[in-house]
Amino acid sequence: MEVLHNLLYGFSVAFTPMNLLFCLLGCLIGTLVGVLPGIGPAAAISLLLPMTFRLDITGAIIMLAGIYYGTQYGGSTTAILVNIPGEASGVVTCFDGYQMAKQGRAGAALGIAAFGSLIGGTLSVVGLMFLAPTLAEAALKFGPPEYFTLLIMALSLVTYLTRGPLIKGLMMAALGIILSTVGPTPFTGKLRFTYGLEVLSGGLGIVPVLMGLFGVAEVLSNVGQAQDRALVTGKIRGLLPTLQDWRDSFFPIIRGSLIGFFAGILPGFGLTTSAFISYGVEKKISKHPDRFGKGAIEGVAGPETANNANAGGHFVPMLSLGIPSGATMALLLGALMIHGVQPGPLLITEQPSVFWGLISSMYIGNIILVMLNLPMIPLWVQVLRVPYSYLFPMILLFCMIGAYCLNNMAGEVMIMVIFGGFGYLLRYFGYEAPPLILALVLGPMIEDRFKQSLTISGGSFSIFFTRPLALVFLVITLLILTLSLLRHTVFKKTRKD
Amino acid sequence: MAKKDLFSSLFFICLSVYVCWESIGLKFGTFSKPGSGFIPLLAGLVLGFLGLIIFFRALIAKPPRGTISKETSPWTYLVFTFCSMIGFVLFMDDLGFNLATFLFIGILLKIVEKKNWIISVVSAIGVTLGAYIVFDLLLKSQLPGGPFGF
Repeated sequence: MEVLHNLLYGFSVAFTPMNLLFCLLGCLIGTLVGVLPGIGPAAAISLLLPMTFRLDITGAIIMLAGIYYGTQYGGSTTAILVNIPGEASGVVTCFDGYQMAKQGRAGAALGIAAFGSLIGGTLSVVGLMFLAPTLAEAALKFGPPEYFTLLIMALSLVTYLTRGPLIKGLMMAALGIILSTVGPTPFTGKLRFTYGLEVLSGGLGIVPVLMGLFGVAEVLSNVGQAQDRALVTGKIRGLLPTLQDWRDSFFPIIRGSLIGFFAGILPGFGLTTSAFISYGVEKKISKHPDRFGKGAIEGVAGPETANNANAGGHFVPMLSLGIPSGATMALLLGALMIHGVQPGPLLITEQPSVFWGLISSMYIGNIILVMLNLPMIPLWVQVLRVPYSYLFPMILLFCMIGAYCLNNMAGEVMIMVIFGGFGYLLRYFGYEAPPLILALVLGPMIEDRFKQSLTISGGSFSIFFTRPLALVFLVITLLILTLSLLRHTVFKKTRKD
Repeated sequence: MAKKDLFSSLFFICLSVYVCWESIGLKFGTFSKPGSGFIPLLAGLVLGFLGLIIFFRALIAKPPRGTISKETSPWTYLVFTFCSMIGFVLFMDDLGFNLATFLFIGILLKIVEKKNWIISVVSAIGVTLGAYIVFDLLLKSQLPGGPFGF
């Protein structure tokens, strides 16, 4: 009953004209970003973050979240019509979606992707609504050692699930921690690694670093590369799925929702992973697995639903524990912190308008997206025709204006540009940015909880092993690391064979 | 990959040595009362240790068999784009936002995207005007003005 009461309060927040407008704007920008290949949700949010500084926190977070889940909708359009994933997770949709489009069933593929996303997105918000407050309540009992080990566990899980080798992931996490120490030391205020530069005296700004590592680096990766777009031509009809389509897609949508949501709760399980799991499950249990890859509607419905449910699931650890499960959530966490909101278990009780307003806006946003996406598909097709050569200078300009507007300092722009170049080099040398970002965002919390724990124990590390919950988190961390090493060894052995 | 790992790990090893050196100067403290240099030193040591593993692995790795396809990376355009951004930041305060934007967009379109002069100049004027209307007039962002009053 309390949940219902809170939800009604959330709707009263989300239904204010301004918040509705922000939700609509977020969904619109998200879809646009999803449609455009070469720019993902993390890049888009990092670019638009400075623009939200003048908004109130609820409106800002509603809009940024809208961009996040909106990209999942938009990505399917590009995957189905152009056979290029608008963002990484859309790659699975390409398998069957593009085949359906080639067979003249683009409408059905786009329609089921949109409805599947609506159902998956909505179910995941229901899960978020019930799970997040319960988790937050449990987390209130955590002391510094529990929190420290939990943060380390989340970090190791993200590192484990990134594509590259574990060692490189751990290196990025260590680098992120080092970068997070730039600026004043907690409690004492002593400056570290600032070199007398004013721009570093308050710490390395998370936003310019993120804009550089994701936005600029992503644009730089695409500079000078021809983008081959084999757009499916012809009129798109039949966006409403037929009864047979629904019969084929109903259970994949339900399974996709569950897979996506529960995978989303765990740090590191990105949208792409859940889409692949869903596709694999559907193919495995299908009576006609040979149809997959040749235009099976289940191959579109399951992964597209899982994408959106995953996006909803990602909000659970972020809103209840203050632990982002990936780079995009780290950005949203950064947005909350910039607006003066301390993420963590107290967020739900201290900032009910933010939490419940966001939840309610996600219900509204998912409906807006279906209403927006289906009739606007012809427009998105036109957007796909805009050459990237005109887009990229504008995206870079937009990045630089955004970074400058943070504090009206050219230094912030320089930080963004430098990290843009660094981010590009990281990609080139095979290092993944998400562990770095996560460590950069979580770094101050990790340092704080670590020092508190040692102060409590009088300098003894046994505090992390004698408290049951902390020990559980540590054991899981060890398991994750061992599993990763085993995976690497087995993978190497299999390759040799 | 081994060559790439060799270079990248060397960079990170050097970085870790530097971070550890600076951290020692920052005061390590004690375990019961950790100082400012405590966390950066630990993280620096981890970075250096892992960097060493990557370095030695790359050193003993055999070169891959068969022909290696040459990577065609558009380095020239990339470096040019990066330098244009640096130039934009350095000259933005002196030239003013509008002039810097015009030059930035025009140069990128002309040199990186190889558009003709007319398209480059017209597009640069269009983007500058659009950015001026949105950011200066509508959003009232305090972007630097130039020596000519705009």
